[in-house]
Amino acid sequence: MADVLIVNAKTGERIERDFTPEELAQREADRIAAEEAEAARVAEEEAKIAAKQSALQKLAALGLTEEEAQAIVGA
Amino acid sequence: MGGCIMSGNIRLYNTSGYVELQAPSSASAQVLELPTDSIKPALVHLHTENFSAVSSVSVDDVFSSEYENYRLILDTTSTANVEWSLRLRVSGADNSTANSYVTQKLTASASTVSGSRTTHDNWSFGEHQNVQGNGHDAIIWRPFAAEKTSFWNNTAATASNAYLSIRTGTHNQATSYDGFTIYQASGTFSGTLRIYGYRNS
Repeated sequence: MADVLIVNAKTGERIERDFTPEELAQREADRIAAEEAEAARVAEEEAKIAAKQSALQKLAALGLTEEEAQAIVGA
Repeated sequence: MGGCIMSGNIRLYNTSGYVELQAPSSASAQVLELPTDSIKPALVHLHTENFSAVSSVSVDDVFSSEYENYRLILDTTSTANVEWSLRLRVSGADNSTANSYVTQKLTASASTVSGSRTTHDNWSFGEHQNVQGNGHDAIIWRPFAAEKTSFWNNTAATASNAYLSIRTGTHNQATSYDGFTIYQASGTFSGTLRIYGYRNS
């Protein structure tokens, strides 16, 4: 079970090998970047949900029904 | 499908018509040629690769001047639910220029739809949302031309819960690429990759 598969589509040559130290370092950097991007995406999503909930509560306090409030905020 | 010879040419019939293959013009000719007005497939198969439990798959010498645009069909399983990345490649080396790859994502799971945009040293090409099976259908536009390259990909998780992830992307380097690397930052993946070229005319 190799880490890396390199194929030449013209010749059909296949190389299977483990990561080089440089590739391992890059993979670790990629993993951290991917985790940070996912965390940022989740945080943004949660912030949107929280803002929407807050807007719904404020609209309800103004006397709008839940359906009317949801129509405004696009829920 | 049946076949017959008419005036020296060969006609291959099916229920909707026939394709005529032109016979050699001289006895010494060794190759049958399709008439210029014959039906030609739009997609030409270039390569199929099966892989098992790898973290990275690179394909070299697959983009060329013969086709401008390419289609990638992948059927994969994964040991992790992670983003799946692609870097364009030339002469056996990936291009990982910082902030040169922009990806626009649109995902849908049940009634939840969300969008996001990322700028990195790779395209966020797809994802393994479900380890049980994922289908990927992608187009890469003009990778061999020394111009900006773009892509579109649709990933569908094919397990019990359907999941949709549509991505488009641009790459701002005016470089001619002959291949690509697909990889994921953690875990391994297995499956089949099929690459086709779109006939230019």
